[in-house]
Amino acid sequence: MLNYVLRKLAYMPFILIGVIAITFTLFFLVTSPEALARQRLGPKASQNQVYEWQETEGYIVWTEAGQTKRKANAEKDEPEPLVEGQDFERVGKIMLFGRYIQEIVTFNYGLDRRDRSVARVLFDGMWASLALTLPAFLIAELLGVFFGLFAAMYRQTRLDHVLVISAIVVMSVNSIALYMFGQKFLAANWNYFPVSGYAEGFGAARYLLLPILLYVFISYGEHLRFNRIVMLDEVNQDYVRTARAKGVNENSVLFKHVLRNTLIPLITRWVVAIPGLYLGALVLESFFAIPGLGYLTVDAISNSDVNVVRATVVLGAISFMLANLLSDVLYAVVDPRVKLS
Amino acid sequence: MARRTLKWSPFLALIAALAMLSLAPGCGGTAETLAKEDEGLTVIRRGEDEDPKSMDPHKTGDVISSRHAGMTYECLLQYDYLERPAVLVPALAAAMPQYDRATNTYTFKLRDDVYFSDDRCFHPDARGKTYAQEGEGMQDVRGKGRKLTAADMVYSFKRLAALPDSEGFWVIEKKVQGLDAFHNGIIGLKGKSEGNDPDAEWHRAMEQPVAGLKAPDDLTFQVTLTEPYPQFLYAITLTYGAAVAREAAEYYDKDLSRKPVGTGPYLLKRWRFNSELVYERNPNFRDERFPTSAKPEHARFKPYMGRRLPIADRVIFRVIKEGQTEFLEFLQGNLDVSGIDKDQFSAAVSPQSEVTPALAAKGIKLLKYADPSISYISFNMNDKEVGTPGGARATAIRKAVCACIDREDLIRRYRNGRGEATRQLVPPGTLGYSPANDMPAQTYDPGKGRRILQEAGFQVNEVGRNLYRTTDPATGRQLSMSILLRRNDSQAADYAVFLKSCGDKIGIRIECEPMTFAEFLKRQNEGTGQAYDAGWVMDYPDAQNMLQLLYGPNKPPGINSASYASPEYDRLYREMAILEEITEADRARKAELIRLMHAELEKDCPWVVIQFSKVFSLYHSWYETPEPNAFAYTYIKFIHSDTPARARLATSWSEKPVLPAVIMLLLLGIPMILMGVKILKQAA
Repeated sequence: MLNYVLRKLAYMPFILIGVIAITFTLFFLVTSPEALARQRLGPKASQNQVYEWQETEGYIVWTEAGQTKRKANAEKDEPEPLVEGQDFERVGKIMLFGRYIQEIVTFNYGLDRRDRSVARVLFDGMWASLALTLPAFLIAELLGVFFGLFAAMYRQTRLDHVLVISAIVVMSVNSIALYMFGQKFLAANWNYFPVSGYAEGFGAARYLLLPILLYVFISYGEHLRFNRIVMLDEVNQDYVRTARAKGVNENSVLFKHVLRNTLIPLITRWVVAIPGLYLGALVLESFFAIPGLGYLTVDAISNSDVNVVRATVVLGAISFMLANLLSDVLYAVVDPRVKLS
Repeated sequence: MARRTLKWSPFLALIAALAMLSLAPGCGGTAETLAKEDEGLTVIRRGEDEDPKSMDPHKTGDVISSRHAGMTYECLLQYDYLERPAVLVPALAAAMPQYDRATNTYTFKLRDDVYFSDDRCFHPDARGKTYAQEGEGMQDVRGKGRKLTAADMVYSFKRLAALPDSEGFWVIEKKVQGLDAFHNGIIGLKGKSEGNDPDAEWHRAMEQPVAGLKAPDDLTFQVTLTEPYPQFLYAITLTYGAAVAREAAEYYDKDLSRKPVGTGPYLLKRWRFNSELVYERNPNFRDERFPTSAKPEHARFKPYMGRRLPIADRVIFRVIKEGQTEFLEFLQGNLDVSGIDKDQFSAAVSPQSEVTPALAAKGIKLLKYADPSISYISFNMNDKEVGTPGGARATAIRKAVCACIDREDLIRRYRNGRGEATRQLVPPGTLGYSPANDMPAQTYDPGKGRRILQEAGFQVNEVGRNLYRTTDPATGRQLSMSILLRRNDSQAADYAVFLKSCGDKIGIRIECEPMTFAEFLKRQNEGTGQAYDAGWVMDYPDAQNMLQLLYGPNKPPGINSASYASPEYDRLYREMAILEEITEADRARKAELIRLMHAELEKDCPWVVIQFSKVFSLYHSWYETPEPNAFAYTYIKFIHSDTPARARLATSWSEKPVLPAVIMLLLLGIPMILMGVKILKQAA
């Protein structure tokens, strides 16, 4: 297994470089250093400022003639315009990409467009996202397993039908419509919850309860159907029949035999969901004004905040790769038949 | 199916736990919580679409950042809160400045009672250190804020020119003697020194004197201009003209963006990014009083006239991105003010443009006012199809497009009436505005548009009801034009549909390309679009600020996105821009020049002029509706909110009805009840 893990870990930097290369290419297809400078400095910034900003950010380098001209300009009210190719050269995309990678390797993520440390921004946002998504995920999964087991045990009964139909109904509802409905009626009209907000520490609980309930409600249908199918596959296996024939009680059949054997698909699902937990739930965060990472990422993309985009891409890619590796390892742990080689 | 028996205790426990959870008492009570927090204070609660980009006054290039910088910083002058049209009055200055026409010198006398807020940067132990070195831990050990001197104003103006990421240098660029050379010399030095302090050389350069900025004594500040600049006082009343203490700038450096240290009415107490900003009264704030006025239209401000500012003890901005969320918070009484999102518009505003009865019953007031920001479409005058290279045929296409845009329909159907169609560049209430400046070419008349195209040699055929197809006989192809849109959301999609339908009326296929703002800027700077969806928020109440958008030397990457170059327009602009408004003759000449500039634009049609914006805002009864002034960023100190009234009303609106809760619990509980029954049956 160690070999397998080491091999997978060795692949990771290459996959990461690939992901970053794609992001880098897409990013500079839709924008340019000049546009980034204008966006940062405002449309009325002087052309000199725009060049200096690009030089500071490493997008251009002065030539010797350019250095001389800049020195001469420093004495003048009306500077001579700087000319590309003559006074400065644009740094090649490959060089830029190399520096991009170097900064990632040295954990130098720089500042965001508001001059805050990107690492700090991500760290703060991650906790807010986790405060929302972690309890929501756990409750939703717990309920999913519970209802799935129940529906499987009582398949083709009225109870199973009620559960399945309710799951289909919930899955048919548009999640945004449900968030809007929940916020408008449960919070604004009937005052059972705050409309929105967030607080530090345990104070956050009162603001998070409604979004968590809505998340659980939205997830209920999908979880129930998935878990029911997984459980049904197992409930009909020979070993279950054998266990029952031997007189093993139903608790043991369900929890010791059926549940254990359904763990592989469940683990896949749980582990793959982990990166999504701290990367946030964009729509919920936006509706309930929760300062998490979901909104931050979209905000960074739409405002060409290159450092934040880069950091979230790296964070997302690494966590997805680690989650996949973890799920492989856990397969082997829960199912002795699986050999990692 | 074989009958099976389970030991149900774990399941029953889970069902019980879930039932307990769903029955958990509602976590409402926001109104009560806020009432408790606000007890004994006057508190303003507002929403904000996003966090300010920066609170460093030299980097506040957008409205939100300027508003927040205006909470903690002050300029030499400010806008009178009550007088309209907008009038400048002293703020940090003791009186309006003296202007010497012969030397182009403004002399400001500063007030003697202005102090910076107490802050760590003024503490003797912080001397020579930076926030990056000391960290957040030392923020509670503050030094006493010192008195503002003229040297601070000199330093602030130099810093505005010296920061490589300054967003406001343009307001004094080429205007102050020696400042451009200073800018050119220092701009590349920040962060470039070898050794421990990467800014060492930049700091040394900051010591260089600038001929046009002088502080003859502690309370006298002189600015000598290179040429007459009638907009100078307006320009330095933007937040870029704020007083920044050298100690603060050096201690915080880039972190000054979120650690404001000014002389303004408030202190930033807390900024939780993406969530909330809390300001509290600055105890060091000078003795400034609410202005007095005997005019009948100002009678509602009588209770506040002469009161010491700021009126509110605390101001809280909640960062709320979703329009619905802000609106619901407002309806609950948790916010004093709300904008109106397009999705909430019909719930808030009646077809008669009044507040709806449901909101009126809560005492909510609707305020509508003109906002001096213009929307337009600029043609790329370098484009070979629609620009100058296209000659008379391109001019015909531009004129036809100008004639096919139904501005009134756009405002009514797509913008909820939030706009005033315009046919000129100068907003009402500004010198230079005159109905005589309305450009006939900007009148909606698709029939005229089709005639113009026919006269230019194009073939216009009716292909359906109100649907035309204009072809170029030379190629046999239908005329088409693309417009780049600066956003890619649902509003952009609506706008694209509208523009296409307008094009159909003259037979030109108008295709829109929605994109992110970054991509839009890139395409605009490269000049690779045929036309651009554009807008401009006026910085100060002078027509020059609008008319500069078509001044030739401002071509991309400058603000003249059309790349319009008309020698006559440029000549008129240059004369208009430096014309003082002192005598009646000056004013008449300026108005005449503006009329002539519009006549030039009428000939060339570089823009489709669309509308000036109109703002609709909702206010609760306990909140004193302010006098709107789009140019002022320091007005919150004048605003009063009756906090006890808010607490009383908001609490009365927060009752929790029982019936919906029971119905929902029953609905949600049905599967659990069924399960429970099943379990009990089996157990039996």
